[in-house]
Amino acid sequence: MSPFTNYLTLGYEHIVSFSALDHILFLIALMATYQLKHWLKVIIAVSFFTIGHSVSLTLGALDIVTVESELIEFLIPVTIVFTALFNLSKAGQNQKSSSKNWLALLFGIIHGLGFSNYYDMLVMGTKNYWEALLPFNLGVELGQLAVVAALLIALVVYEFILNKKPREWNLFISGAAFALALIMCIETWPFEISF
Amino acid sequence: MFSFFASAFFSLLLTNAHDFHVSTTYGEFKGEQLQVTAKVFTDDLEAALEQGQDTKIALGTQREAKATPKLLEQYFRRHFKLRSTKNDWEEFTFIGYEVEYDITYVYLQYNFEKWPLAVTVQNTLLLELFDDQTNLVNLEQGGKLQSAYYNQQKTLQTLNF
Repeated sequence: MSPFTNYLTLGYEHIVSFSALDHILFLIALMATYQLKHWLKVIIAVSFFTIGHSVSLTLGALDIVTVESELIEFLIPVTIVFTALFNLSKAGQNQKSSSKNWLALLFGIIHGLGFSNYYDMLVMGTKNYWEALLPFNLGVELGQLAVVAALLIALVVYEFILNKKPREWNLFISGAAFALALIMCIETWPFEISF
Repeated sequence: MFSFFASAFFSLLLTNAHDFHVSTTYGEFKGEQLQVTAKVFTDDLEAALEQGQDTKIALGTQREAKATPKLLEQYFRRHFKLRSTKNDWEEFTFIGYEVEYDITYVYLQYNFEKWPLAVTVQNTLLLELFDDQTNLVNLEQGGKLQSAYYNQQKTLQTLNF
Protein backbone atom coordinates (compact mmCIF):
# COMPACT_ATOMS: atom_id res chain seq x y z
CA MET A 1 0.00 0.00 0.00
CA SER A 2 1.07 3.57 -0.55
CA PRO A 3 1.56 5.78 2.51
CA PHE A 4 -0.90 8.22 0.90
CA THR A 5 -3.81 5.77 1.16
CA ASN A 6 -2.95 4.81 4.72
CA TYR A 7 -2.67 8.40 5.98
CA LEU A 8 -5.91 9.22 4.18
CA THR A 9 -7.62 6.31 5.95
CA LEU A 10 -6.17 7.45 9.27
CA GLY A 11 -7.61 10.95 8.83
CA TYR A 12 -10.99 9.60 7.71
CA GLU A 13 -11.33 7.15 10.59
CA HIS A 14 -10.30 9.81 13.05
CA ILE A 15 -13.46 11.76 12.21
CA VAL A 16 -15.90 8.94 11.55
CA SER A 17 -15.67 7.48 15.05
CA PHE A 18 -17.26 7.93 18.43
CA SER A 19 -14.15 9.54 19.83
CA ALA A 20 -14.67 12.49 17.49
CA LEU A 21 -18.08 13.42 18.91
CA ASP A 22 -17.04 17.00 19.64
CA HIS A 23 -15.99 17.40 16.04
CA ILE A 24 -19.23 15.91 14.75
CA LEU A 25 -21.30 18.03 17.12
CA PHE A 26 -19.68 21.16 15.72
CA LEU A 27 -20.57 20.07 12.17
CA ILE A 28 -24.16 19.44 13.26
CA ALA A 29 -24.38 22.92 14.81
CA LEU A 30 -22.79 24.50 11.73
CA MET A 31 -25.38 22.87 9.48
CA ALA A 32 -28.47 23.68 11.52
CA THR A 33 -29.49 26.80 9.55
CA TYR A 34 -29.16 25.14 6.17
CA GLN A 35 -31.80 23.38 4.09
CA LEU A 36 -31.30 20.70 1.46
CA LYS A 37 -31.05 23.25 -1.34
CA HIS A 38 -28.03 24.80 0.42
CA TRP A 39 -25.97 21.61 0.18
CA LEU A 40 -23.17 23.37 -1.70
CA LYS A 41 -22.95 26.07 1.00
CA VAL A 42 -22.67 23.33 3.59
CA ILE A 43 -19.77 21.71 1.76
CA ILE A 44 -18.00 25.07 1.41
CA ALA A 45 -18.42 25.90 5.11
CA VAL A 46 -17.17 22.47 6.13
CA SER A 47 -14.16 22.89 3.83
CA PHE A 48 -13.33 26.20 5.54
CA PHE A 49 -13.40 24.28 8.82
CA THR A 50 -10.95 21.73 7.38
CA ILE A 51 -8.64 24.49 6.13
CA GLY A 52 -8.72 26.01 9.63
CA HIS A 53 -7.55 22.92 11.41
CA SER A 54 -5.08 22.01 8.68
CA VAL A 55 -3.51 25.41 9.35
CA SER A 56 -3.22 24.87 13.08
CA LEU A 57 -1.95 21.33 12.61
CA THR A 58 0.88 22.83 10.61
CA LEU A 59 1.39 25.68 13.08
CA GLY A 60 1.61 23.11 15.86
CA ALA A 61 4.27 21.34 13.85
CA LEU A 62 6.41 24.44 13.60
CA ASP A 63 5.99 25.11 17.33
CA ILE A 64 4.72 28.60 16.52
CA VAL A 65 1.75 28.28 18.82
CA THR A 66 1.58 26.23 21.94
CA VAL A 67 -1.63 26.41 23.89
CA GLU A 68 -2.48 24.51 27.04
CA SER A 69 -4.41 21.42 26.01
CA GLU A 70 -6.81 21.93 28.95
CA LEU A 71 -7.73 25.31 27.55
CA ILE A 72 -8.28 23.86 24.06
CA GLU A 73 -10.50 21.10 25.39
CA PHE A 74 -12.62 23.81 26.98
CA LEU A 75 -12.59 26.11 23.94
CA ILE A 76 -13.80 23.38 21.57
CA PRO A 77 -17.25 23.05 23.18
CA VAL A 78 -17.30 26.87 23.52
CA THR A 79 -17.13 27.09 19.71
CA ILE A 80 -20.16 24.78 19.52
CA VAL A 81 -22.12 26.85 22.07
CA PHE A 82 -21.25 30.02 20.16
CA THR A 83 -22.27 28.50 16.82
CA ALA A 84 -25.60 27.34 18.25
CA LEU A 85 -26.29 30.83 19.63
CA PHE A 86 -25.20 32.44 16.37
CA ASN A 87 -27.79 30.27 14.59
CA LEU A 88 -30.50 32.15 16.51
CA SER A 89 -29.35 35.56 15.27
CA LYS A 90 -30.42 37.27 12.06
CA ALA A 91 -26.83 37.25 10.83
CA GLY A 92 -26.55 33.54 11.52
CA GLN A 93 -29.67 32.81 9.50
CA ASN A 94 -28.75 35.04 6.57
CA GLN A 95 -28.01 32.61 3.75
CA LYS A 96 -26.38 35.27 1.60
CA SER A 97 -23.77 36.10 4.20
CA SER A 98 -20.41 34.36 4.18
CA SER A 99 -20.05 34.83 7.96
CA LYS A 100 -20.53 31.08 8.49
CA ASN A 101 -17.43 30.35 6.41
CA TRP A 102 -15.23 32.68 8.44
CA LEU A 103 -16.68 31.31 11.64
CA ALA A 104 -15.88 27.79 10.43
CA LEU A 105 -12.33 28.84 9.54
CA LEU A 106 -11.72 30.45 12.94
CA PHE A 107 -13.24 27.57 14.87
CA GLY A 108 -11.37 25.10 12.68
CA ILE A 109 -8.16 26.70 13.88
CA ILE A 110 -9.27 26.22 17.50
CA HIS A 111 -10.29 22.59 16.93
CA GLY A 112 -6.99 21.98 15.14
CA LEU A 113 -5.01 23.17 18.15
CA GLY A 114 -6.34 20.07 19.86
CA PHE A 115 -4.42 18.14 17.18
CA SER A 116 -1.18 19.95 17.91
CA ASN A 117 0.69 16.87 19.07
CA TYR A 118 -0.37 14.93 15.98
CA TYR A 119 2.22 16.36 13.65
CA ASP A 120 5.25 14.72 15.23
CA MET A 121 3.36 11.45 15.31
CA LEU A 122 2.35 11.63 11.65
CA VAL A 123 5.52 12.73 9.89
CA MET A 124 7.80 9.88 8.98
CA GLY A 125 11.55 10.11 9.03
CA THR A 126 12.61 12.98 6.86
CA LYS A 127 9.41 12.84 4.87
CA ASN A 128 7.56 16.08 4.73
CA TYR A 129 4.07 17.47 4.63
CA TRP A 130 3.02 16.03 1.30
CA GLU A 131 3.42 12.38 2.10
CA ALA A 132 1.80 12.31 5.53
CA LEU A 133 0.02 15.49 6.61
CA LEU A 134 -1.67 16.29 3.31
CA PRO A 135 -3.36 12.89 2.95
CA PHE A 136 -4.25 12.97 6.67
CA ASN A 137 -5.95 16.35 6.26
CA LEU A 138 -7.70 15.16 3.10
CA GLY A 139 -8.92 12.11 5.02
CA VAL A 140 -10.28 14.40 7.75
CA GLU A 141 -12.14 16.37 5.06
CA LEU A 142 -13.56 13.16 3.55
CA GLY A 143 -14.65 12.02 7.01
CA GLN A 144 -16.41 15.33 7.56
CA LEU A 145 -18.13 15.09 4.20
CA ALA A 146 -19.33 11.62 5.19
CA VAL A 147 -20.82 13.10 8.37
CA VAL A 148 -22.38 15.88 6.27
CA ALA A 149 -23.86 13.29 3.91
CA ALA A 150 -25.48 11.50 6.84
CA LEU A 151 -26.92 14.79 8.09
CA LEU A 152 -28.24 15.65 4.63
CA ILE A 153 -30.09 12.32 4.64
CA ALA A 154 -31.62 13.33 7.96
CA LEU A 155 -32.64 16.61 6.31
CA VAL A 156 -34.30 14.71 3.45
CA VAL A 157 -36.36 12.80 5.99
CA TYR A 158 -37.25 16.04 7.76
CA GLU A 159 -38.13 18.10 4.69
CA PHE A 160 -40.03 15.44 2.76
CA ILE A 161 -41.68 13.40 5.48
CA LEU A 162 -41.89 15.30 8.75
CA ASN A 163 -42.10 18.99 8.09
CA LYS A 164 -40.82 21.68 5.82
CA LYS A 165 -40.19 24.48 8.27
CA PRO A 166 -36.45 25.25 8.41
CA ARG A 167 -36.97 27.38 11.52
CA GLU A 168 -38.08 24.44 13.62
CA TRP A 169 -35.24 22.29 12.35
CA ASN A 170 -32.76 25.02 13.30
CA LEU A 171 -34.24 25.44 16.79
CA PHE A 172 -34.22 21.70 17.40
CA ILE A 173 -30.67 21.07 16.15
CA SER A 174 -29.14 24.23 17.59
CA GLY A 175 -30.86 23.65 20.91
CA ALA A 176 -29.61 20.08 21.14
CA ALA A 177 -26.06 21.06 20.19
CA PHE A 178 -26.17 23.98 22.63
CA ALA A 179 -27.23 21.79 25.54
CA LEU A 180 -24.66 19.06 24.92
CA ALA A 181 -21.85 21.52 24.34
CA LEU A 182 -22.75 23.52 27.44
CA ILE A 183 -22.37 20.38 29.54
CA MET A 184 -19.01 19.73 27.88
CA CYS A 185 -17.96 23.30 28.74
CA ILE A 186 -18.82 22.80 32.38
CA GLU A 187 -17.02 19.47 32.51
CA THR A 188 -13.87 20.81 30.89
CA TRP A 189 -13.88 24.13 32.81
CA PRO A 190 -10.15 24.85 33.13
CA PHE A 191 -10.18 27.78 35.56
CA GLU A 192 -9.85 27.84 39.31
CA ILE A 193 -13.38 29.08 40.02
CA SER A 194 -15.41 25.93 40.58
CA PHE A 195 -19.14 25.46 40.19
CA MET B 1 -31.57 2.80 33.49
CA PHE B 2 -31.82 6.17 31.79
CA SER B 3 -29.20 7.68 34.03
CA PHE B 4 -26.90 4.77 33.19
CA PHE B 5 -27.20 5.48 29.48
CA ALA B 6 -26.96 9.20 30.01
CA SER B 7 -23.77 8.91 32.03
CA ALA B 8 -22.31 6.41 29.56
CA PHE B 9 -23.04 8.83 26.75
CA PHE B 10 -21.53 11.80 28.50
CA SER B 11 -18.42 9.92 29.53
CA LEU B 12 -18.01 9.02 25.87
CA LEU B 13 -18.52 12.63 24.92
CA LEU B 14 -16.06 13.96 27.46
CA THR B 15 -13.22 11.59 28.16
CA ASN B 16 -12.73 10.47 24.61
CA ALA B 17 -12.57 13.93 23.09
CA HIS B 18 -9.62 13.93 20.73
CA ASP B 19 -8.12 10.68 21.90
CA PHE B 20 -5.87 9.71 19.06
CA HIS B 21 -4.83 6.08 19.40
CA VAL B 22 -2.14 5.88 16.77
CA SER B 23 1.48 4.81 16.54
CA THR B 24 3.73 5.20 13.52
CA THR B 25 6.87 3.27 12.73
CA TYR B 26 9.37 4.24 10.09
CA GLY B 27 12.23 2.03 8.93
CA GLU B 28 14.92 2.66 6.38
CA PHE B 29 17.29 0.17 4.78
CA LYS B 30 20.82 1.57 4.96
CA GLY B 31 23.72 -0.62 3.85
CA GLU B 32 23.30 -3.90 5.68
CA GLN B 33 20.95 -2.50 8.25
CA LEU B 34 17.30 -1.75 8.67
CA GLN B 35 17.02 1.15 11.10
CA VAL B 36 13.61 1.40 12.70
CA THR B 37 12.07 4.24 14.70
CA ALA B 38 8.75 3.56 16.39
CA LYS B 39 6.76 6.54 17.67
CA VAL B 40 4.29 5.89 20.43
CA PHE B 41 2.35 8.33 22.60
CA THR B 42 4.16 8.37 25.93
CA ASP B 43 1.08 8.06 28.15
CA ASP B 44 -0.23 5.08 26.16
CA LEU B 45 3.15 3.36 26.31
CA GLU B 46 3.37 3.93 30.07
CA ALA B 47 -0.03 2.36 30.53
CA ALA B 48 1.07 -0.64 28.43
CA LEU B 49 4.32 -1.12 30.37
CA GLU B 50 2.59 -0.73 33.71
CA GLN B 51 0.16 -3.58 33.00
CA GLY B 52 0.86 -6.34 35.48
CA GLN B 53 3.40 -4.13 37.27
CA ASP B 54 3.19 -2.44 40.65
CA THR B 55 5.69 0.26 39.83
CA LYS B 56 5.03 3.56 38.08
CA ILE B 57 7.07 3.83 34.91
CA ALA B 58 7.10 7.68 34.65
CA LEU B 59 8.78 7.62 31.23
CA GLY B 60 11.26 10.38 30.58
CA THR B 61 11.11 11.83 34.09
CA GLN B 62 13.67 11.73 36.86
CA ARG B 63 11.53 9.17 38.64
CA GLU B 64 11.60 6.81 35.66
CA ALA B 65 11.62 3.16 36.79
CA LYS B 66 15.04 1.50 36.50
CA ALA B 67 13.54 -1.50 34.75
CA THR B 68 12.13 0.67 31.93
CA PRO B 69 14.66 -0.16 29.17
CA LYS B 70 14.22 -3.87 29.84
CA LEU B 71 10.43 -3.67 29.97
CA LEU B 72 10.39 -1.61 26.80
CA GLU B 73 12.60 -4.08 24.95
CA GLN B 74 10.47 -7.01 26.11
CA TYR B 75 7.33 -5.15 25.07
CA PHE B 76 8.67 -4.56 21.58
CA ARG B 77 9.93 -8.15 21.22
CA ARG B 78 6.39 -9.27 21.97
CA HIS B 79 4.46 -6.70 19.95
CA PHE B 80 6.68 -5.83 16.99
CA LYS B 81 7.90 -8.70 14.82
CA LEU B 82 9.51 -8.58 11.43
CA ARG B 83 10.69 -11.17 8.93
CA SER B 84 11.80 -11.39 5.32
CA THR B 85 10.70 -14.28 3.13
CA LYS B 86 11.99 -16.79 5.64
CA ASN B 87 9.71 -18.19 8.27
CA ASP B 88 11.66 -17.08 11.30
CA TRP B 89 11.25 -13.71 12.93
CA GLU B 90 14.38 -11.61 12.73
CA GLU B 91 16.02 -10.59 16.00
CA PHE B 92 16.45 -6.87 16.47
CA THR B 93 19.07 -5.03 18.44
CA PHE B 94 17.39 -2.73 20.93
CA ILE B 95 19.24 0.54 20.41
CA GLY B 96 17.35 2.64 22.94
CA TYR B 97 14.61 5.22 23.32
CA GLU B 98 14.06 8.93 23.73
CA VAL B 99 11.12 10.68 25.32
CA GLU B 100 10.14 13.98 23.75
CA TYR B 101 7.16 15.39 25.58
CA ASP B 102 4.17 13.30 24.62
CA ILE B 103 5.91 11.04 22.10
CA THR B 104 8.41 8.30 22.88
CA TYR B 105 10.82 7.29 20.11
CA VAL B 106 11.99 3.67 20.24
CA TYR B 107 14.98 2.66 18.13
CA LEU B 108 15.50 -0.87 16.80
CA GLN B 109 18.01 -2.24 14.34
CA TYR B 110 17.93 -5.31 12.13
CA ASN B 111 20.76 -6.74 10.06
CA PHE B 112 20.16 -7.76 6.46
CA GLU B 113 23.02 -8.85 4.25
CA LYS B 114 20.76 -8.41 1.26
CA TRP B 115 17.72 -6.17 1.07
CA PRO B 116 14.66 -8.43 1.03
CA LEU B 117 12.02 -8.00 -1.68
CA ALA B 118 9.25 -8.58 0.82
CA VAL B 119 9.07 -7.81 4.52
CA THR B 120 6.32 -9.15 6.74
CA VAL B 121 5.61 -7.20 9.91
CA GLN B 122 3.40 -8.19 12.80
CA ASN B 123 2.42 -5.13 14.78
CA THR B 124 0.25 -5.46 17.89
CA LEU B 125 1.45 -2.33 19.70
CA LEU B 126 -1.18 -1.10 22.20
CA LEU B 127 -3.90 -3.28 20.69
CA GLU B 128 -4.32 -4.88 24.12
CA LEU B 129 -5.25 -1.45 25.54
CA PHE B 130 -7.43 0.24 22.94
CA ASP B 131 -10.09 -1.14 20.62
CA ASP B 132 -9.55 1.74 18.22
CA GLN B 133 -5.75 1.59 18.17
CA THR B 134 -4.27 2.05 14.69
CA ASN B 135 -0.63 1.45 13.84
CA LEU B 136 1.18 2.44 10.68
CA VAL B 137 4.44 0.94 9.46
CA ASN B 138 6.37 2.69 6.69
CA LEU B 139 9.48 1.07 5.28
CA GLU B 140 11.84 2.63 2.79
CA GLN B 141 14.28 0.85 0.52
CA GLY B 142 16.43 2.94 -1.79
CA GLY B 143 13.85 5.71 -2.05
CA LYS B 144 10.91 3.34 -2.46
CA LEU B 145 8.41 3.77 0.34
CA GLN B 146 5.88 1.11 1.32
CA SER B 147 3.26 1.38 3.99
CA ALA B 148 1.06 -0.96 6.03
CA TYR B 149 -1.99 -0.30 8.20
CA TYR B 150 -2.69 -2.22 11.40
CA ASN B 151 -5.66 -2.49 13.74
CA GLN B 152 -7.53 -5.13 15.78
CA GLN B 153 -8.49 -7.00 12.61
CA LYS B 154 -5.21 -6.63 10.76
CA THR B 155 -2.08 -7.43 12.73
CA LEU B 156 0.06 -9.11 10.06
CA GLN B 157 0.98 -7.36 6.80
CA THR B 158 3.52 -7.83 4.05
CA LEU B 159 5.31 -4.94 2.38
CA ASN B 160 6.63 -5.61 -1.13
CA PHE B 161 9.51 -3.76 -2.72
